[in-house]
Amino acid sequence: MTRKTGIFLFASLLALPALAQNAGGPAAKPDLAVGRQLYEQSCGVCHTKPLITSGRFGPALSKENLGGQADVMAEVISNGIPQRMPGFKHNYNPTQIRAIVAYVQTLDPPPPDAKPPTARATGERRDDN
Amino acid sequence: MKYFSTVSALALVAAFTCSAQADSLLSGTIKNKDGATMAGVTVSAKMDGSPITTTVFTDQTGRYYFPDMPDGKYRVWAQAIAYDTGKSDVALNGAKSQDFTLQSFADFVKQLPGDEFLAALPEATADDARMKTFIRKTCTGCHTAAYPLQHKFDEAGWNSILEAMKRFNVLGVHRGDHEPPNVSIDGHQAELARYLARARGPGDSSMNYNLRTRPTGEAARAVFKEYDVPLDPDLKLPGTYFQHDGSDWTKGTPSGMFGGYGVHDAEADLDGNIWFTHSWPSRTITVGRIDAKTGAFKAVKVDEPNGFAAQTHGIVRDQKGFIWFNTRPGASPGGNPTGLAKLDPKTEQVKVYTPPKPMSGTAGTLDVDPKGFIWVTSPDGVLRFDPEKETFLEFKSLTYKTDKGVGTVYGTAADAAGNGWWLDMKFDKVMRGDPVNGQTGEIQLPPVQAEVDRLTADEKALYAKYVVPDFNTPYPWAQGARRMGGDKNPDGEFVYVGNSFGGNLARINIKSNKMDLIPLPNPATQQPYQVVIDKRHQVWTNLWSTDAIAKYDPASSQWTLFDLPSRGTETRHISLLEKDGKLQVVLPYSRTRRVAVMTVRSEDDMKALAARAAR
Repeated sequence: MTRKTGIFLFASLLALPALAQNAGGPAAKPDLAVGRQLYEQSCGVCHTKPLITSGRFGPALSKENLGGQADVMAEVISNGIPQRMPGFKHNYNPTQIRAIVAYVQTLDPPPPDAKPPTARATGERRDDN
Repeated sequence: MKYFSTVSALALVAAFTCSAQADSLLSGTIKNKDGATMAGVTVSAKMDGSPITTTVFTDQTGRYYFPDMPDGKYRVWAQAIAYDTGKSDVALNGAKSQDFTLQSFADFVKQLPGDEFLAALPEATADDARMKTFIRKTCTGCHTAAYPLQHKFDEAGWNSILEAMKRFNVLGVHRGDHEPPNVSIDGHQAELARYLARARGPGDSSMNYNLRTRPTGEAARAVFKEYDVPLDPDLKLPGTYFQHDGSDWTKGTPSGMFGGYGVHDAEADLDGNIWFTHSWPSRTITVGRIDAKTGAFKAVKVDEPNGFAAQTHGIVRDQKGFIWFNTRPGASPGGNPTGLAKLDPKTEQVKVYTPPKPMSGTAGTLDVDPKGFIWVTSPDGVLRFDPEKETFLEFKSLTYKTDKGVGTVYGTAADAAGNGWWLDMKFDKVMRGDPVNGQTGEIQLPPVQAEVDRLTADEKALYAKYVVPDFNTPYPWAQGARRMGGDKNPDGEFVYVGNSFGGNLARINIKSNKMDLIPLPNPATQQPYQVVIDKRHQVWTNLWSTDAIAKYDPASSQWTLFDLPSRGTETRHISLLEKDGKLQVVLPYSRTRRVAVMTVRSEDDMKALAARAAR
């Protein structure tokens, strides 16, 4: 993902309305272990670098995303972003989505990337499968 | 020809030392909640702190028997599709029995391997059949179908995924929103999103699950040892990072594949220790070594001038026990030229040979012929290396640059007569180089006619102009000649090509070049990758887009399927160690950064274990 795209995406996320009641559900304590597992299972593929030398498709997720607003995070996870990210509301229930949000809110933002992606990282070779 | 030696930087990353004093037998019986015994259940055990998971299967009476394991504290778990994972902690200290009663598990879809997802996709109409084929040939060109289909999304959600996927490359890296899309995905995007939402979306599902039976017979006598490979610390993942290794099916197929996973091919040395190649950028590892007894991991780095480790991909063991692999730059720019590396497992020293100009450099797959010559692919052909004279001999593909794109050489194999074979996966071509006369031949694999017949007018127009961007987004009619193996027994007559998209093996007679296609048991869902032939002429292939391997016996024309114990394995290689009358099958898990070894016990072995357990 280019820096320009990342800025656009981040701005789009911030513009989304807060709909805490839809995704948040009753105020039970979220299960961080469940959130960590589901994050790894369904979020990391786009929000973690596929290669140490590459960028990532989605922004790195941390407690600072979306202003740290849990309700906005839950809304984005539930309903996705048109043309960019699927909504997970048909896959995970509100309790599970709340657990993912709680886990993301434990994550510190990663250090900035030192170097841009290399030609190798962006697909110079094609014999890896 | 010139070569240079490299500094072999060894980094001992992790070691587990078994402190146990004795080996003991763990056995038990698996039943369902109604009290009926269950055959073919997968039972796994992992000692606290150990990187090794051992797995066996229940027999027809529901009994399981582990091989002797060191005394200690174990997590033990039992799994079958549509049943919740049975879990127990066992303190092994002498023979122990641990029974399980498995409860039903409603959300069984999460537990499925890739082939079960593909099999369940709707195909009743011609359009549905086209979409099913598209998923099998384009989506599962890079990952198992279980990877996306374990999720449920609405049409907009699937459309978002396809919008992204049409700009991802084979490495899982998004090329950027302004890069041109893959026109094959782009041209099917709307139709495919609708199809996927019907199958795996809200509301009634069009999926038709008809699960295959659990392992029986030889497959139920298999023993797997799976070895964890530590993550690259250079990844700087959060301290809370959870590495889902696919060992608990109820958690679904692992979706991550983050930098530093990278395990690609694997081969055992003559002592049974496992060497694997690391195919992604790293500053610490070119190849890794797993101690077969303890699971201790060691990284061997071939230095690059930019601080990276050389990357590699393919690996092979020669008759003397040396390990050979290709090398390529760790990252661009500033890397060394591509080469061929020789590793001595005793000293762990590496020497890299560079093909002289104007020869092409090396590419990603290797084999060794009966005389000990090393065959390694190049981007446009194959090279034969003479380890005694330290010279290369080059063969070029006859058809390489075409108006439909540049060919992609992938697999290679040597045959019993010392010929070298290689594949152009993008265009389904099989090439043969004869080192005696220097001649090169070419065989064109036939298209999958059923797919040609199913094309719509729009698709015919699309594919008439389609310049294939890479070998993982093929024409619908492609066979997908990915990797191959030769029967190198003295009386071996054939080479076999793993046709990933055709779901078959192409068997080619090395004297006549006559070819026939041997379909997998379910060619629509099983995708062969690498092929290797044992000393009994039996043909082994890893079904990389599901969690299974297959063995073909040419004498009986029978297939045997072996289920792997974990989900999301995506094995991209298979190799054998035949020693002292025993056969070990070595399997790297690309998706989950693990390596596995399978052995098969005899019926007499099982009787002896049952007798011991009964005492």
